[in-house]
Amino acid sequence: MKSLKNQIRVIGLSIAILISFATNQAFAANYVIYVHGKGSDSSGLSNTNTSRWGNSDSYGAAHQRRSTAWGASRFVNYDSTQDPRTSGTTRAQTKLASAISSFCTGANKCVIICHSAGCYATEYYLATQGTPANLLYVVAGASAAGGSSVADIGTTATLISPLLSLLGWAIAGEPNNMTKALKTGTARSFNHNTSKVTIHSLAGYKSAQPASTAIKGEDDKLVNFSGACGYSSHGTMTNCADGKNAKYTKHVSYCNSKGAVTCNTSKGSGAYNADHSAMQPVARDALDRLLGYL
Amino acid sequence: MKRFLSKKNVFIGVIVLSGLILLTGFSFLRTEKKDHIAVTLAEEKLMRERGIPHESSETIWDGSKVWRPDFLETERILQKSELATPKILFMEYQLEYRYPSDSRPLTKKMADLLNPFKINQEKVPIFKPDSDGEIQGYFSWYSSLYMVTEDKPAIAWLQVYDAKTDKPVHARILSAEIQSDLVFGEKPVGTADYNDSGAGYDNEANDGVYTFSWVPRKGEKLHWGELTMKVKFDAPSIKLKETEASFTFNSTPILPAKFTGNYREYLENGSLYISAEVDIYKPGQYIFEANLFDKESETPYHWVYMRKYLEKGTSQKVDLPFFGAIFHDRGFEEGRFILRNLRGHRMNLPYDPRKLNEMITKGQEVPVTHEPLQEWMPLPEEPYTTLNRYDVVQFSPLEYQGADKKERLRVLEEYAADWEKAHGASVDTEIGEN
Repeated sequence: MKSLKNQIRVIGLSIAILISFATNQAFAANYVIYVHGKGSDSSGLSNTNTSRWGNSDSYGAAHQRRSTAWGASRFVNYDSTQDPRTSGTTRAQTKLASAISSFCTGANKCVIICHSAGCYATEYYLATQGTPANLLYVVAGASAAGGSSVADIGTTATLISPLLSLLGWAIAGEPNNMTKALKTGTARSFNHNTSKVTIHSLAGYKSAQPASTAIKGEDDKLVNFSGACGYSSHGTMTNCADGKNAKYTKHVSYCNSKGAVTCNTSKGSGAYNADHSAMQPVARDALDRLLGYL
Repeated sequence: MKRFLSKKNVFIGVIVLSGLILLTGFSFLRTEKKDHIAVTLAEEKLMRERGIPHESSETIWDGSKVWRPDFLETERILQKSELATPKILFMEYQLEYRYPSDSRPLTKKMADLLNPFKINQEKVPIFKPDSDGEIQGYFSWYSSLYMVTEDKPAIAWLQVYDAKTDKPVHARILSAEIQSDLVFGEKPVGTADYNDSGAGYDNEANDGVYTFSWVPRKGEKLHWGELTMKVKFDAPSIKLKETEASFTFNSTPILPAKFTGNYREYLENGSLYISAEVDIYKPGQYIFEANLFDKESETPYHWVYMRKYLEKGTSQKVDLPFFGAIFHDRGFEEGRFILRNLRGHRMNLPYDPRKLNEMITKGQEVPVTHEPLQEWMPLPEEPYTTLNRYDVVQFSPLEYQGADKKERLRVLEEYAADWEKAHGASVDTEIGEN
């Protein structure tokens, strides 16, 4: 009897050894990593806070259902009053490094969905730290990786503050370090062509006065087409895929109205009738389409 | 324990374990044999369907015919394909990895890489004070060198425009102050010289374009980082009252390293390498970039981007790779090359970059950035022209086959398999609609 028990133990042990061999495969998981944009405060540093992505609205709930069918959500909630290129426990580069080393390693697969300055942080990370092997692609809504003309204005003087007032930026603490880092010359001062994965760059064109007059070309009130569409030069772009101006390598744009916001192909692929914040749901829908759930 | 590890039990254990491993192995083999969409990519068919040029030329290498695709055109069409299945993604990434990530094809359209330090700011609006967004004028900055080292002058040009006519107007400069980097508290560290008299760096007298210049003090820490030139001006002709325009540039007064001006060129595995010699004064993570052109025709061929950790020491070598297949794909035939835009900077991180992952894993606190992010090396005074002439037959037309390529394509194969499981095999999802 004892011998039988021992044999059962041995068989159990053998199975356990085999399972440990297969651990990598068994624990492979998919992750959707969210990187939010600029905020005027430093709250939301928890990894579970979803509010910055607005996933609590009806479209957001649908997106949550769809994206979680593919993988778990993880939120890179960094201090968005600070320069997105900087390090430190609550800063963007360290938070991104932490998320990528936790979720884009081993047998896992991950995608990054970013909005505005979150895309600036993401592209800077890819340029300076390299592209993780398990990252499939990046979905960038209203990317500020090329900076913003508004930041060029907003960091200059109080005499040109009406635009900032309109945008809600004429508040204490502005222009903060994030706003200063968003100046177009600064944001474009590193090489944006080094990503090994596709950056799906989607732009909004729903502007408002005085931003629409102040910012040359199309914009979403905050970010110019030249930046959001992934063009390699800052300039007056009115079409998100004009075929004339060069884009940064691996940056692509496309239209699809099968989501919360319609796309206007007359302004080129990737141009959505959305203002800056409404580009978040556009990016969520784009991700759902890429994952095959919309 | 002895009884537990009796010969009989060990024998049973080995048999069971072997059986399970064999079974698992068979199941893995079966999985590998199964053809996923991405694995069985019908490249030719897909290219035909999508109008991608597949009638590419062939070349000879090692006595065999090698396919030479039109990389840039294929990339352009794939970017416009508006399809998002793993099949397309696989194709895109397969194309991407035709060349290694540190050596890529350069074209005349890549303005950001051809003029890496040029700043050409769009016109910035100047709002009328106390108005509801009325724009009185615009200003714009131009500079050909965003970055300066040691005591080289920072130079920028400012132009002011009338909002109604969009024509340049003469501004009156009231002050031009230089402010330190954010991390040093944006303190005033000097004043810029300026003129529109055709003197110094000013191109033309009285053309309304003001030239500003400022010389950092070599070795002065406060002159390090992203500095701001803050200029106050007015323009009576358009009733523009005092306003302010700022221009940011990067300054490195204390050198972390320098190029010595010594180079060596050699061929290895069908690619060209140009080894640039550097003296490193400050160890750390460096980023090196450069562009390669045809000496006679000025045709751009490659851009290079390398991250490399370097210890302190003189006469160290940075081997810049110029991948063989790019010479074939960009139509090079015979001649010498010229290396331009060679540049390098040290990433001034508040931690040892080699230990970041370990720090994160152990839950150690990552220090906050407390100094400027970059330290630039002075640009080489002259571009380097290769000593040898080269013929395209010396370069390999074969595509890149590194471990990173295999790993990424393996990840995509798995992604394709998961996709197939969830959505079916033949779905060709359009992510775009036009």
